[in-house]
Amino acid sequence: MLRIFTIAIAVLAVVIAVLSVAIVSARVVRTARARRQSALAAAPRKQLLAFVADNGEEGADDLVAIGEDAWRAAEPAAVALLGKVRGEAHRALVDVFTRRGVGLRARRALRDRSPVRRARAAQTLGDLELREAVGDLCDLLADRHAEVRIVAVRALGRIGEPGAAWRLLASLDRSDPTPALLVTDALVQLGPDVEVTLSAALDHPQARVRAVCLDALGLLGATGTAGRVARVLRDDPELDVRIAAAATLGKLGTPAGIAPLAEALRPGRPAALRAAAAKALGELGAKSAVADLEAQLGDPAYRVAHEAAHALRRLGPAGRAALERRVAAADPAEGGHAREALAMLAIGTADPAPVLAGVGP
Amino acid sequence: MTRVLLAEDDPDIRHLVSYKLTRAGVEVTCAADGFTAVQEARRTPPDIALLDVRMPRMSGLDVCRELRATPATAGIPIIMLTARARRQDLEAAYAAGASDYIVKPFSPRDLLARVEAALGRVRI
Amino acid sequence: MIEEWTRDLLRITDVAIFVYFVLLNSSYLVLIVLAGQEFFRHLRRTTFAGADDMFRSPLTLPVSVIVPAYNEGPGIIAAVQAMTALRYPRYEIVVVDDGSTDETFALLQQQFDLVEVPKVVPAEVPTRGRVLSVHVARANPETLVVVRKENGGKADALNVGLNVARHPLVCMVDADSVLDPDALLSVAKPFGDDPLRVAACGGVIRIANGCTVVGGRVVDVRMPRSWLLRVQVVEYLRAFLMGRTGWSRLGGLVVISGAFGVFRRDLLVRIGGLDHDTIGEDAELVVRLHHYLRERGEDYRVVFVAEPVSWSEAPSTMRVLGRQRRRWHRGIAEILSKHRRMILNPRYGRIGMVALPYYVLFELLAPFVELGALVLLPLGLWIDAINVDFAIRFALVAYGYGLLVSLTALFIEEVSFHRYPRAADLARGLVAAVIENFGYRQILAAYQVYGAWGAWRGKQAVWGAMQREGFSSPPPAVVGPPPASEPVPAADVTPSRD
Repeated sequence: MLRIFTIAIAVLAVVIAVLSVAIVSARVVRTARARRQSALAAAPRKQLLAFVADNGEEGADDLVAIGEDAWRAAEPAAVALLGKVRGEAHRALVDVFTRRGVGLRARRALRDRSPVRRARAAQTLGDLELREAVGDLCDLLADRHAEVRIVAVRALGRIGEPGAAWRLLASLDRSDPTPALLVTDALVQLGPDVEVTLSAALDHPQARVRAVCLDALGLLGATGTAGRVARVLRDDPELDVRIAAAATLGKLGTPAGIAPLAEALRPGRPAALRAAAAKALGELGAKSAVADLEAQLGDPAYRVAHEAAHALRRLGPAGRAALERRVAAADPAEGGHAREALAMLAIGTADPAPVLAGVGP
Repeated sequence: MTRVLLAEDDPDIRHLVSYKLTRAGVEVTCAADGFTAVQEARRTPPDIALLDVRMPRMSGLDVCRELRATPATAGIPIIMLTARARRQDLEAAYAAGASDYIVKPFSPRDLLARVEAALGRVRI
Repeated sequence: MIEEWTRDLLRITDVAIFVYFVLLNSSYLVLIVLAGQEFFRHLRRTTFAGADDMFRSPLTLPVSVIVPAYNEGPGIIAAVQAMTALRYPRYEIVVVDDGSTDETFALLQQQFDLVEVPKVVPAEVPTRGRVLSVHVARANPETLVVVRKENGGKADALNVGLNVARHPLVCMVDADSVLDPDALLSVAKPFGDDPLRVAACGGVIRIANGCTVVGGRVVDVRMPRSWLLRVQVVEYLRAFLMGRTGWSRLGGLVVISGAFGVFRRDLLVRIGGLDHDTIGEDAELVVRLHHYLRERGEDYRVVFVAEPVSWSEAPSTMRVLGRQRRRWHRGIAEILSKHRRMILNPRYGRIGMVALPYYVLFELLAPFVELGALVLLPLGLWIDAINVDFAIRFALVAYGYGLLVSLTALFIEEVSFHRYPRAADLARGLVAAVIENFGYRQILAAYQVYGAWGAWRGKQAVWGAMQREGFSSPPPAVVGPPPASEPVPAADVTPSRD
């Protein structure tokens, strides 16, 4: 027994000593390396900033001529700069990257065995907004690794090629789908050209796809699809999709949304849907819906009454009058939501003005 | 010489903007956070201020309100820099007293033009 | 004369204790190595983590940050100001003033120009203390809400905050926590990347003592001045940072600190919010969440983000530290006893079969064995059950192994996040690792045993004086925005399980 202990002590002592030395040398090596890297990167970084500040008018050749070591040290800074500038400065910088072969290397790395390298490559292609990589990135939407798919979604959004829309939607319809909000965000970045695709996909059998399309249409302000969205609000079998449709009608802000929303607000519908409809009516600025909203102020469901009151707060004098009527009529225990909304109205909130009333700053 | 106060916590953007403006013949004072920016402005009131909205210690909007409340800087043009361009953000900036609003990422050329325009507007 | 069987018994016990120490430290080592892998994974992925995209996206899930405050007067303004400067697209701050008797509310009202709003607060989770009034900041009514309520303890304050919160994610933060600017982005990211599964996400807590805090931001990280605090720094690294990262890797994370954690609000509402009558209400919440979701066979994840995010004050005196550990241990004991049905029940998967049994064996019992060794080893020597050679070697191996574990943790920190830039701090860390294993743990064990004993003795006393104990964070913590670079003075008790 004692022998075993003795051996164990010896082993421990050695390992502890090695660890201590390792900690100290890790520090020394890292500091030295960091210093070398920043020294290497210093000159290229200055060149990069000057290049970008001058809109890339001169100095491109010098940047392309920078040695590989120094460039690698400065590359993270260069990539970061890509995200901070736009216009011709951005284009000029991308051009430098392309001439250095960064885009080509990244496209090749999309087929690397390591998921980290694939994801990094996708990120780079997105940063460079390289249109010719869209096809490859779309293929990456079916990658085995969730983290790679996510980067591909974001990269496609950055690039903004509308043709990627249906592939993005398809990536939602898998057993392990891409995250809905990220896809929505990417779709919105593709711009108004995708409205047709989104509107067509409102018939998709997968509820998640329909909900994402609705959200994206709302954010894109695709007013032409309001009638179509109203039909989804009325007929879709999935509650979540109907709720998304209500929110979209609110964002679209067309009068065509008012009647279907008022319909969805009626008692007997699920509370979550009614709350969403009330909120949307406020957002839309539906002055004609004041009476419908006022009728919900005493609703037993908290969300419905709450959203109705706050929707009225956004509907101008008529809405305010409705709230005041409620406070005056109901006994103190009941008029709570209206009182709350009036108090917020008195402060004047940072809520954006209703869409229909729409005068910008 | 025209003096610009630049408050921005991202060193890249700080260097980029100050390089650009210095080349255009403007004197640039930099601050990496809102509080330092206010102190700088008190010491020597600038002719124009470029403020990042989200900064440590004091947000750009607070700095903006502070500058507007100080007689020496109450009338200068103030341009906000921000990564977000929702309507609420814009409204908040104008409510705080900003004269203009530049969304990041921005074009350096555009930034210079906006600074010149703001200065011109005041000179008239 | 002492019977031979007594000696045999003592000898066997001493060997058993030795085996226990080896197993305990080996388990730490496994967790730390797993954590090391996880850090490496994480760091390789920062270039495509998409934090900027998340910050710019209008669709990033909004968060309600709930800040319970009880007599936080000295630090509350700085804390709230710092929270308003977080880099996150859309969030609200809900400060819940839990019946403070100091100027907490008055200061907030004055600083942020609060306006009372007769808000209807839904009763989605049960609460005890009545809500007295709700206020919003005049300039930012959608961003800052202050709720005044009758005193009811931290759990009750958090539950009221849950009811008031409007956003789908809630973040619970201690009023004296100093958050990194990207803290919310880091901790909310898993919810965006894996929206169908992630139920809760914890963040790293580090020790703020000794660091320079300016405007509610840690700008210079350094080791605290006292050895008691330095040892805690090493302990936090080993036990909380790496231990929890390791558990997260294994899919068995059962503790998310109340000092910084993000949850899906709808799930917390479904499980009824925080438990009023448990001491470690934050840990209990996570165990209950597991309990609930496993019972329904749902596919979910509770994750831990290795990126350092929140800085907390650690107790700077032995007395206060002891009290904190007593309370934590009592919390562990109560939670394990409350959820004992889950232990070794295959229905609860890894939580029931691995994580909770581990907590019983190596968390709950560890201080008992630690103290046992301190008593039985000398006793064995005294009655000649073991000889001096054995005793010395025993101690060297058992505690030396512990030292090795702590050093491994330091090594991994050094090659991954290396938050302490000064060379002297590195040396201090090495020395602190020694002290942690020779002295510190043994002293704390006494307090922990006392805490477990408190849980054993009875729960009737809990709801009187105890509930408030962890929630009073006394004197001056001046973390100015303007004034500047003072290190934050020590709080009396860190008001949560870490």
